[in-house]
Amino acid sequence: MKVIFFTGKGGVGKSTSSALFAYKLAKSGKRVILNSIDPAHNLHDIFDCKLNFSPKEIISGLSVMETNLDQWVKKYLRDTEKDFKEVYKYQEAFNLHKYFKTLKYSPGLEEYAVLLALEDTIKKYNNYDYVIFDTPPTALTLKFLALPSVSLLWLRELVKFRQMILNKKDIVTKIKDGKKGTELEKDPVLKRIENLIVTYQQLSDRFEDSRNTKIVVVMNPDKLSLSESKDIYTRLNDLKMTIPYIILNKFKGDESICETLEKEFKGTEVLRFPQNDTEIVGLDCLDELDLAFDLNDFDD
Amino acid sequence: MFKRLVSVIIDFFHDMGTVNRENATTIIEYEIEEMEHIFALLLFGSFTGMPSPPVHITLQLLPLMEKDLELIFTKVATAHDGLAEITNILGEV
Repeated sequence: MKVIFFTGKGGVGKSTSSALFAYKLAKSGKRVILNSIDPAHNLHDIFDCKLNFSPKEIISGLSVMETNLDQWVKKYLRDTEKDFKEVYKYQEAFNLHKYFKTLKYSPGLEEYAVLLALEDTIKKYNNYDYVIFDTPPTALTLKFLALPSVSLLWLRELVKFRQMILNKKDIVTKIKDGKKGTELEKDPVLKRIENLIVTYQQLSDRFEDSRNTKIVVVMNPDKLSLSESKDIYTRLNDLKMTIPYIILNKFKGDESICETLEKEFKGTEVLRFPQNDTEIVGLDCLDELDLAFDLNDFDD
Repeated sequence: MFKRLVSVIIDFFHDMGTVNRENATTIIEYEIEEMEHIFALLLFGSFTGMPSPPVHITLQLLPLMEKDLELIFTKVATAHDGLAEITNILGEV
C-alpha cells in the first residue's frame, strides 16, 4: 500500500489535484481511498455528493471520505478522561472532573487528532493500493508530519532518564534487602513510554519510507506560493522526507518558473496542470482533465 | 545464658549491618528523589513555564504519575530550604 500526501499553501488546488489523481488511479484499475483531513473540506464539492467519515464509493475502486477532526479530538479526550477518572476518583467528590473539559483547548491537540485520524486510516484500509490524503494548509500539515519525530526525541530522552532512576532504585533494593530489584521490569510509566516509542517509530518509519510514502506539493505560479513551497521542501528535508513531485497548478505556459523549480527542488519532478477556466465539479469534469503523467511512476 | 548472649551479639551485628546499609543508601535515595522530581518537572514543565513535551505525551503519562505529582507539590514547600535538606542528609550519613 502506498500513502500519498497532497500538501501546499491554502487555495492552490490541493483538493482538486488529489481528487484528480485518486480518480485517475482508480480508473487505471487501482483500489484507492481518498481522505480529506483538512478541517475545511472540499472533496464533497468536487465529487458533488455528500461525504462523511466513512468511505463512500464514488466509482469502482475509488472510495472518498472526509475526516471530522473534532470527533477525533473528542474521542481522544474521552479516552484520556476515562483514564484520569480511574486514577483520580476522589476528585469526583468535588466535581473536579468537569474541569477536564478544558483539556480540549490544550495547544497541540489538533495536530495530534490529525495524526490519530491518519494512523487509523492507514491501519484500517491497508488492503487498498493507495491511501491519498488531502491535507490541511501548510502550518498544520508540517506540524503533524513532524509530530512523530518530535515525540520520539522527547520519549527517547524520557526513557533514558526513567531507566536511570529505576536502575538506582534497583541498586537500593539490592543493598537493603539483598535481592534483585524489579522496578525496571514493573514500572508502568516506563512501559507506557516504551509503547509510545514503538507507535511513533512505526509512524516515523512510514513517513520516511520514500518508496511507499510520497509527498506531492501543489503550488501556483506565483511568488507567495513558491516561497511557501520552498519552506515545505526545507522543513520536510529536515524530517528526512522527500518530495518526488511538485504540481504546478494553474500553469500559464511560463517555462522559466519550471526551470526555477527544477533548480530549487533538486530531484523533484514538476507536473504542469494548465489553467482551467471552468469549475471542476462532478465526475464529468474529472474525466475531461488530462493528468499528463504516467501513473505507473507512483509504483516505483 | 550463653545462648541468649550469642543471640544478642547476632542481633547487634545484624542491626549494625542494617544501619550501615541504610546509611549507605541514604544519599542514593535522596538522589533518586531529586531525579524523580526532575523527571516530573520535565514532563509537566508547562505547569512552571518550562518547555515541555507535546501535550499528548504529557496526557498519556499523567494518569500513571500521581506519586510524581505529589512529589512536585511537596518540593514546592521544601524548595526554599535546599541547604537544610542537604545538611540533614549529610548529618544522617
